[in-house]
Amino acid sequence: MAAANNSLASAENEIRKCMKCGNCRAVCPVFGETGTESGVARGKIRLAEAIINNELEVNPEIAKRLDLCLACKACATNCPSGVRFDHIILAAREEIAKNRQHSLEELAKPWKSPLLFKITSNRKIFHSLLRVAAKTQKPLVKGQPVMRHLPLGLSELTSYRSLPVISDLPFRDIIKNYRQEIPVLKGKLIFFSGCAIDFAYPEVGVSLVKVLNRRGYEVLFPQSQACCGTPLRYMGDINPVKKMACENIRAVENMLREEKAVGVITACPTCTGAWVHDYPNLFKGESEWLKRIEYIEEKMVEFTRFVAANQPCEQDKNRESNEIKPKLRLTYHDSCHMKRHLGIFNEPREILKGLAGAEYIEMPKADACCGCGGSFSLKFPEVSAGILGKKLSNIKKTEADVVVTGCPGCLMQIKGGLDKAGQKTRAMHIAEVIAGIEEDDGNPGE
Amino acid sequence: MDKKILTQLNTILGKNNVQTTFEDLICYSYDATAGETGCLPEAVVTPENSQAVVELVKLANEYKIPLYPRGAGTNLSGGTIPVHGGIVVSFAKMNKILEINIENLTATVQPGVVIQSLNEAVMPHGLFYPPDPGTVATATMGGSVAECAGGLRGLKYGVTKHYIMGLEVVVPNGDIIRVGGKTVKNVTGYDLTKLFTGSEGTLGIITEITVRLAPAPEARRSMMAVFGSLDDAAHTITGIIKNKVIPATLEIMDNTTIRMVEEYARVGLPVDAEAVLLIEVDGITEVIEKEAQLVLDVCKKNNAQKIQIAETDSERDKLWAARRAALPALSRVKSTTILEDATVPRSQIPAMIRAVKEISLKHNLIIGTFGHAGDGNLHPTILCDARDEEEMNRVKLAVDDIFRTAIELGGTLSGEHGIGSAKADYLEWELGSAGISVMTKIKEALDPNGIMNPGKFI
Repeated sequence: MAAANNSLASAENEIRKCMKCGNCRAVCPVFGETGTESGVARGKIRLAEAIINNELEVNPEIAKRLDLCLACKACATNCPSGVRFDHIILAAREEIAKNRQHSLEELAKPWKSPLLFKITSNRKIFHSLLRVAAKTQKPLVKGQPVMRHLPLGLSELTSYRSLPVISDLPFRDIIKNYRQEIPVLKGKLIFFSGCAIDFAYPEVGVSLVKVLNRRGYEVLFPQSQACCGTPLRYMGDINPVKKMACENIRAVENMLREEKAVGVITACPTCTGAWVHDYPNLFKGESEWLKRIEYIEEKMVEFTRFVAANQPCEQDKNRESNEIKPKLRLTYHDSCHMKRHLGIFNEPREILKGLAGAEYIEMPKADACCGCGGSFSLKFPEVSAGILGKKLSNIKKTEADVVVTGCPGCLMQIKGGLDKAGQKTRAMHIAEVIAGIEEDDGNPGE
Repeated sequence: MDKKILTQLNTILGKNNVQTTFEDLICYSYDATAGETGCLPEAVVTPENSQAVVELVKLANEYKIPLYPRGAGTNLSGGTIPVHGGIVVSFAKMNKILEINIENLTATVQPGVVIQSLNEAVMPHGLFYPPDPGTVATATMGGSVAECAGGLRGLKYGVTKHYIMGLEVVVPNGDIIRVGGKTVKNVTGYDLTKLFTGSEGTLGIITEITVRLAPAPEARRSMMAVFGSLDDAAHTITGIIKNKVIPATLEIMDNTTIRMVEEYARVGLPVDAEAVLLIEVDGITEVIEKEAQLVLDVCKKNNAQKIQIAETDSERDKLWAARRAALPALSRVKSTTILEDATVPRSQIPAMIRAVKEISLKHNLIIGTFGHAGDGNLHPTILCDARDEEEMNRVKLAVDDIFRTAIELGGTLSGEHGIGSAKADYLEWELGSAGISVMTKIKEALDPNGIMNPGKFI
């Protein structure tokens, strides 16, 4: 084997484990759409080998094929040889990012490449742009709660799902003036929200605050928190990600210390994964930073895990006697990051099954990917749409009133897809469902 | 690839069904066979119907271009690896179930249908398609017919060739023929259905398959028995059959496999046991109760050290987890896993397992043997490193010894994986030059230009 480039060298052991058995074909959502070898882990591993062996130069053709992966880890979970394909695909993308030649398509449509996403690494500019977009989107939104049609070259972005409107008031603004009502104060929690909840779904943040308040916790929001860095990380552009990690570590540890908070809550499994898996890797060998990350991670808990361990003492039993009202039918979608990256899938179900006035129905293939994959849905809208279609059809089979998820990315994809397809089921983040049911009227309205 | 030919391919198949980009071709230069490196094909095509295949074959025959039909590429004998440039013919787009006929207990499918998909479609009707190679969730019907795939249910239910009633095949001169059909009995002419089944793509390209379905068993009972002596396990196997019980599955794992499985999956197997048997009976509830009791008695009579009977579905799954873990457990020991398929008559199983043990010591290799004890189809699995040339030389010698032993014991080179390119060299040991001559004549008669999957067993 020719001298391995640094990034792929780290994944060589994983690549070598691959027996080429093809088991990944049985579970890969992308392969389910394309039917091609390069669409599945086995083929991509061969391509990664080809880069290592200098059988080919990094070029737009190979970049495109290695981009065509949701990093959903269905393959890794199903692999009899234990190949951690997620390590391979990220290493390969890092190698490609070093020599990235942008195809004509990427130059014409910047949302398909790291070019546009580089903006996330500069918090002030990124957030300013989002605020501007919140104002300028109004003609495109036409008074609807979601964006259903984007003009001209952007139309493919809403061809199969509507997009959320960027909120006039992001969560970071709302929390400043929000009056938190805490019956008995047990402690303070720091909330790392991530961009999606902050700017597209602030109502999820508000619901989270209500749920945590009810359990005796005040929620604090470090204003200097930035994007967790996952979009750039998954595109192989890791240099800015380290800088973003530093910003986030500083933002959280400062408030953690000053306020003597008892924990750090996350409600986006992608952001959680960044903290738990990516940040330690970025600072490998740097013991100072690793200590600081550990200080935060010891206190970091994902929202559903926290709620499952902190159920309120008195359940609302009086609602149980309300037999006349039909039970709210709930089903749950496992986000790939939540289940396969973080291992959280029992707690959300426990919570939902215990909710008063609700009936829980398990969806077929609840843990199949929704097709979002963050930037994947922008780069490969047709494949994303196909995968989403299968998810929507499984949701339909449950005849649920609400499909619940713990991930804002999945929320965006599924909510948008249900809207476009005209299906009656509503999509909600688990925080919204709990908050809504625990509210007096017991009905999580939109 | 020649521009003129490429243009014709685009016309016959449609431009979006012809791939010639290096990055695509490289992904079709291998299959699941360990240690077999193929070359790049010149193109990969995805025909959408039989007529496209007909035109393709005519073109290939005219210009003498090799064709490599391919399903999921999960075979273990190099059957789908391109060897002389040529065109890989992928059936990814011919993947529809055309008909399920409950009255006649048949189903008709295109070659790209995944085996499990067929089973999922017929299950609601209380039927099933018995052949169950380990790759049911990925392998395609076309591939399983071309390789005559086996599986765990072979002893009771037979293998693929027992279920293929009819085929549509495009033969090398571009003619398309329909052989067999939906009738239970058919003796019209030579049994061409059986000729093409297991022909490994060397005589023609299968474009449609009609299969026989069976009523799905209503109940099943599984058990695992642990033995301190290989002979006791062997006597149990023969004892079960003597009692006229034909289990749906009768699997064996040797000591090496047991130790690796225990290290990897920790399912509670005693690591000094010489053999573990996994037995499942299926059928009508009253019958399987009786059969299960008979099996239990035989195990006890033959000194089974420990017997576990599954009472619930989840207990059954736990028992089978041990067997399912065999290949993954072995494959994690070293970077290359060579899975062989040498098959012997059932009565020779202990002799074969002992011989493999001696071979592993002789050549200083780690070899674990597990497999379908019920039908004698064992999988000696050699754990090695393809980068270690010296070790690979010893592996070649060990494989030679394994094949020689199997044939000497009255067995065969391959029970279910096929010959492909991997075992082509050994064919004469088993068939003799006269046998090879007959096969060669058939091949030359049907495929004079040698375009059908060249470089394989014939």
